[in-house]
Amino acid sequence: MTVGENFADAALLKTESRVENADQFYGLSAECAVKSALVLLPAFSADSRLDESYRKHVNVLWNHINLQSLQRAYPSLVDLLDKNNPFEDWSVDQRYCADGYLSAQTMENHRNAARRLLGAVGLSGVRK
Amino acid sequence: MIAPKFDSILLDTLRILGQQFGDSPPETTLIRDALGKLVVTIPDNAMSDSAEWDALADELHRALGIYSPGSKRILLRHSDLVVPEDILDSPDRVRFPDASKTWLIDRLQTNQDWLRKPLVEQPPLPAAVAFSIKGGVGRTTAFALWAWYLAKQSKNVVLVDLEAPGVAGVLLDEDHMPDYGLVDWLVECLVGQPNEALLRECMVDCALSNDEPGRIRVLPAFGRKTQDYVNKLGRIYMPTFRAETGEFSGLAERLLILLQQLAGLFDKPDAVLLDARAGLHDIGSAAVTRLGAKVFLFARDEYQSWQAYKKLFQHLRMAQSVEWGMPENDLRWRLSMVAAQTESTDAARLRFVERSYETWQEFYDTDEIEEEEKKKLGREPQLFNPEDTGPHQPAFIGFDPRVRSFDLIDSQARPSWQAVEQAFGKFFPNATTRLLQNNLAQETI
Repeated sequence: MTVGENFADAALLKTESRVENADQFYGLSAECAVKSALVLLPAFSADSRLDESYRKHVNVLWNHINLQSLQRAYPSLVDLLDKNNPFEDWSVDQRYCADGYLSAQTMENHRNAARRLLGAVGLSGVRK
Repeated sequence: MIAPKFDSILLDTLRILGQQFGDSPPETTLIRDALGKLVVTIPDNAMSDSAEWDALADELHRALGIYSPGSKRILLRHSDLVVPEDILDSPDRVRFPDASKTWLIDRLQTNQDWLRKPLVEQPPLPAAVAFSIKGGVGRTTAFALWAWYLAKQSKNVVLVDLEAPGVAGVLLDEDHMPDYGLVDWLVECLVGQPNEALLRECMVDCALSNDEPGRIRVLPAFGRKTQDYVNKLGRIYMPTFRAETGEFSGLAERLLILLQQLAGLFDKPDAVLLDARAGLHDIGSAAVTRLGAKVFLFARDEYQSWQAYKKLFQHLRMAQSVEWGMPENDLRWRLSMVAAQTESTDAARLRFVERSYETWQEFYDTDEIEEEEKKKLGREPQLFNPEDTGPHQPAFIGFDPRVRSFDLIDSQARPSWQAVEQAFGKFFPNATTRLLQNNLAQETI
């Protein structure tokens, strides 16, 4: 599944009020956005394969990136990642949680963060 | 097959889209990334079945070669966009002038500001920017002396150096520099703490206005205590994210904060004059197009300057604030040429006007527009003749070899005001009228 599909599916689930599932996709979109940048940079990857230490979900990955190595290629991404991690309260397992586990505001925060990350790495979309 | 080059990508794309859609193209947005790779997005209903989408995508992919991001990414429906509003409402989405119903988003590493809308229609204080495409045309001296004129008119002005050496080098000796300067203010602004106390430490009164009813303060690029100047300079363009607004800020947004902070002082100036760096650079783009300021485009009558201005004007034609018919808030009304260091002969002046007019043809309206579009806009083209008053019509500053040796720092060596006026003619009163007027289209210098 691609980063574009993650975000689109999240939006669809949001309209169906499946908050926990939608929020999981927003986190995965954010993760794909960040990894799409890392995989192009030698500080994080070799032969287009992400180094083992960066194969983490976004809630953990966010705090593990050496921002200096992103500076030249992704200046906007640097300042976004330098801010507090908005996915601290996100978990890849949360779609198995009970309904009502997440607030609409939390999901909106994750949606906005994912959207900004996608913009910062210049990903427009992919044709279905 | 010849490998496609950057220059051919847009034209090849438009040709292929033209073959597909003929005379009724769908609304098309082209997104070109920092490396030049292109994405085309058109509405979902532009084609009916997915085989057509795939075929067109494959053709584009083959034609664009290395500039294609892949056959699945090169052609997108609006519904394929990850965040459609980020593309379709992007502040960088500009009309592509050579094709109808076509927009372009060009992702640049620098110089992105030229095509963006001003952050404000009116700056918080009357503000003027001195810009030149080449250095050494007397831009800095003209603004320093204009400040002197304004002080004589009882005006309180702040001169801001957007580069070093700039006006501070002309107006302040080393012992009278402020402690800090603009780069210090800008790096504190990066982290959200440029307060009034710091601003005051970055400015100093200039002795040139000591005997005048008005006041000149200078905000240089750096001050006596500034450390790590080059290291700071390397940081001031950095995009920063403001969580409160959800927007990114760059140099332009920070310069606007500077103007707002100056406007908030109890002893706020009547006007701010900004001396921008010469050339096509982020400082120029931020100051010329984003602050809502009146802009003075300095040029000497020489081939290199006109060629470079043509390049700039060809680019600015696509600016979001440039509209056919030149409505009142059109960027072009904010700009006016200054004929720098011009011989005081009719022939020299006439030649300058001709060259300026010819250069401005790259930027002025033409009357080549579809009737349908004209009706929609409800405007006629704004056409100028060479002798008309318009942005191309310059204010003249005479060539006077003494000007280069004017010493404004040493009060004993300072030129007489009469000598200054002789060289600068009507530039000061006309520029002042322009600076202080509110209606952009009403009058040009």
